[in-house]
Amino acid sequence: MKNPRRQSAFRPNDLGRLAGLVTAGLLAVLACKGLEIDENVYTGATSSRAGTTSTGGGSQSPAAGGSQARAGNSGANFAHAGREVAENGGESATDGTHATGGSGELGGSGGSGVHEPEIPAEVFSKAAFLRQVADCTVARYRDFEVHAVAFEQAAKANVAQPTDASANAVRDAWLAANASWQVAEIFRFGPAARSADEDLGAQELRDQIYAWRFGGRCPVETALVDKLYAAAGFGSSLINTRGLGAAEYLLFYPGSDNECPSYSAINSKGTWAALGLSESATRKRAYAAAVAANVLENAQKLLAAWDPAGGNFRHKLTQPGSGSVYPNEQAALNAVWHGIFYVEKEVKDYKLGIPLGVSECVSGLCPESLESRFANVSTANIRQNYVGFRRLFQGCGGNYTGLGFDDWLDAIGASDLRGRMLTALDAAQQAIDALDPPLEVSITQQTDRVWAVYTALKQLTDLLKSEFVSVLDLELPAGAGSDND
Amino acid sequence: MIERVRALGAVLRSPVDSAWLAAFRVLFGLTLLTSTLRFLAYGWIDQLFVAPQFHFKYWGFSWVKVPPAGELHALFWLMAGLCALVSLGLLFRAAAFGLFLGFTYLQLLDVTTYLNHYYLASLLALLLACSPAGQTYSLDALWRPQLARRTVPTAWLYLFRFQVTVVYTFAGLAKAHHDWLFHAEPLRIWLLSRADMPIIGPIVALDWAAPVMSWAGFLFDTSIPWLLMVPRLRPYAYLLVIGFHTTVGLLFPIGMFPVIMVLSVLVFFSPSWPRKLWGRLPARLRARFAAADTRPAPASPASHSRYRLWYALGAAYCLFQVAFPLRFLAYGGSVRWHEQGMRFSWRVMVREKNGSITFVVRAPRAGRTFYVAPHQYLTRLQEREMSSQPDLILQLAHRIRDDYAARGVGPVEVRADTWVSLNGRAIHRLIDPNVDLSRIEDGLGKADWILPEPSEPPPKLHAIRS
Repeated sequence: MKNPRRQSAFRPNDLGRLAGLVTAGLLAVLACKGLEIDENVYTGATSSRAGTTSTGGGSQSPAAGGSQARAGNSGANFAHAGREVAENGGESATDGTHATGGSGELGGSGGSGVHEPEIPAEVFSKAAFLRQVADCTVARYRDFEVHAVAFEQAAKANVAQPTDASANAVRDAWLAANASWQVAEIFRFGPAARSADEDLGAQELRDQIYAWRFGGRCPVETALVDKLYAAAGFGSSLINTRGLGAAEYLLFYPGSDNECPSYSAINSKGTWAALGLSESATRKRAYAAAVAANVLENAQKLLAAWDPAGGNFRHKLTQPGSGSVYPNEQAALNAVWHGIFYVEKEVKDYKLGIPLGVSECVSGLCPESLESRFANVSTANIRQNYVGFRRLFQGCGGNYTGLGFDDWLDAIGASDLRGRMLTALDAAQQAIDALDPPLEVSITQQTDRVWAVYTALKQLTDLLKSEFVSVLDLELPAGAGSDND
Repeated sequence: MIERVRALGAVLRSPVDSAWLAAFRVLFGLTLLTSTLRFLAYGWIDQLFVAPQFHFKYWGFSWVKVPPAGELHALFWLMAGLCALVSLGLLFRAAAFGLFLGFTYLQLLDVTTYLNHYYLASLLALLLACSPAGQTYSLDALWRPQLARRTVPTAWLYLFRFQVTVVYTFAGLAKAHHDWLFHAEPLRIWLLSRADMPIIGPIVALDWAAPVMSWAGFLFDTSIPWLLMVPRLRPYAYLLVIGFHTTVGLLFPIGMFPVIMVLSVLVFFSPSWPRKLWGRLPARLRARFAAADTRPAPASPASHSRYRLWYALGAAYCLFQVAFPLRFLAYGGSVRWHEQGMRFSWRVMVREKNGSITFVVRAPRAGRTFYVAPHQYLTRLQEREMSSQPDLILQLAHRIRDDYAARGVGPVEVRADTWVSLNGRAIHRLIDPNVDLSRIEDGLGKADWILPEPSEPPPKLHAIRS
């Protein structure tokens, strides 16, 4: 039955009027759509449900106070682990459960495992995956905070009563802290991420803790002469004068030279030469202590950013939508995916590619570009990075159990791709395990083994950047891509 | 035949209410104003144009340079002003041509920013600038009543309708392939990743949703212009248009595209439809425009030769619009794979394609081989676009060739180790790894250095199953 009134309501001329209104409305709605997302980015709103969805170990409050209370005992254990790192000439600490091959350690970074989240056996869903990622992330940051406390205490003790033993203790503490952070490097999303990379919720905290690829020796040497570390604003000074990288130079570089050009102030005015060995050593100890304190401060900021009582980023990651920086689960998983891309750019291209001279060194090898050439732990760093990668890709639990991107592939019927990626993953693991002696030596003496790691990682990242991205429909960070059609 | 041409000429010259064109001018100006302000507000100018150290150029347009950041920002503000002037009908002709030139110039800055709807916006700006759209419901007409007209030649109406028909028809034909119709790809991949959206998420993730929506999209695109041409069906067709574009706009990040299409199809309505809205305005306001709104178009053309020139230009434009999207036929193979004939062809959202590429640079004189990652030259967005588009790969290869030669390693050979996944398929090589790209020049001919597309079907993916 046709209603004549209704029919007349759709006459073309009248509809033209309606059309104009609808068009204007649609215009306004779509114009406001993006603004809504931006509002989410900057509100930092928390939910009353914060902290109630945590699973296992992740439900503990990562407040700084509680961690500090545990730091005494844990710090001793980690210092021991760190010593193993040093004694093994840069191999990763191995007091955790062995995963595959010879180097993956699931305590992550020489940790005792007390900060590992309990990973429940769950079937894959994006929500469950995000919960496990969040718990895993908090566990990594908490682990690092414990090591940062130990590092800060050891550095302080080394200033108060400098002896060879105290110097070794602070180096061990740095090694343990660095090993822990190298796992956490992969978790570069949310507060750890860079706003320049368009990652949602970015607070630049990774760069505050470890500013690798920014700077070099000269900024630290200039800061040493200028006593920048003793100034009130040291915590907000340029990141290339702070962080684990600066501390590595201060603690491990034995030379008395500097890397600044001759025309720089510390050389042209003779202020570096005027320091003398004794004063230089004293300042390096004080500088290292200031850096350690700053690293600890930023580690605590990072934990606080995830804490339900603080920034509650855990809630933002696990409960995307209103009140979160992520509009939906897919966007939150995009952010995690950007994190694991560290293995392509930073590990393959920077940590291996540049020293190998694959693109930038016209003269051949560039061993001076190795990441940790003063502490000689460049290989250990890569192994720890790979541990972090597998924790996110395969699962955060022991032997990489738990939910990971591989389970997501399985859940949507891309099991073939999952199999090929795991094969590539194992091949890369074997190549990394075979890096013996460590990079600082093998880059010149066993170059073929370093190339083997580079090639194996390339095969993995070729899949990661193409097929993997396609079937999971992972996208560039929000805002970086403009519109699409 | 001559009689028919004359009859057609008479029809095209016959006057038709100009209200539709004025309404289109207002809405189009507002849409582009919104688009321009989005660029300014979201920081896209710096991301897309300032941050990259290398810019991909269109073939034949390598001379277009990216201005400094300050000038770019100023240009966008100027564009915003021009959009407002077009919408208001103030200094219309100059503003509309300025808008066309400015918008087109911005698109020529970097190929990786290419979007079909930006191309459409440029074309519509050109048509608008050439049309008498500023003679009705405009400030020009208000302040210079001698310019005001109530009618325009029917040819303008047909030309705009033709343009919209071309967009939909080719967008529909671009979907007439195996992946889209029989494997529901890439729509299935996109819909599965949206299963967590509120309300519609669980629906679009159902197994049947992707095939149904693929066919619906194909049928919609190929039929909607023709349905809009039938007066009895037009209201229902327009509701379909709104429903379709709203759904697409909600599901996918396609910015202003739905708005542009929803307003563009208004050209299919009776030319007088805006007058109903006009009648709702306060009487005093209408009275101010009344004098300017009563003049018909000139009863007879200034000269037949002038009309002949316009007809010839119009016919050439229409011929180009039909022929250019069909150029892919000259290349054979899958245009979604080799991309020759992909742009400016209304192939809207027809592929999910991602790649990984490493350039292998061999310097015989230095005895060295370098492996160059694209991120050394490109932003993430540029790298993602480049990695699956052969002509962009070639451009970057040339840049790398020049760069390495400048480093003093002598002449180099550049090859591409390129792995690409099309619609979720297993990765295949896109570029012949044996070809030295440093010696290949880009052109319109078939690129034999692009390897054939994969022959296997895309994988059968499904929603997350517990």
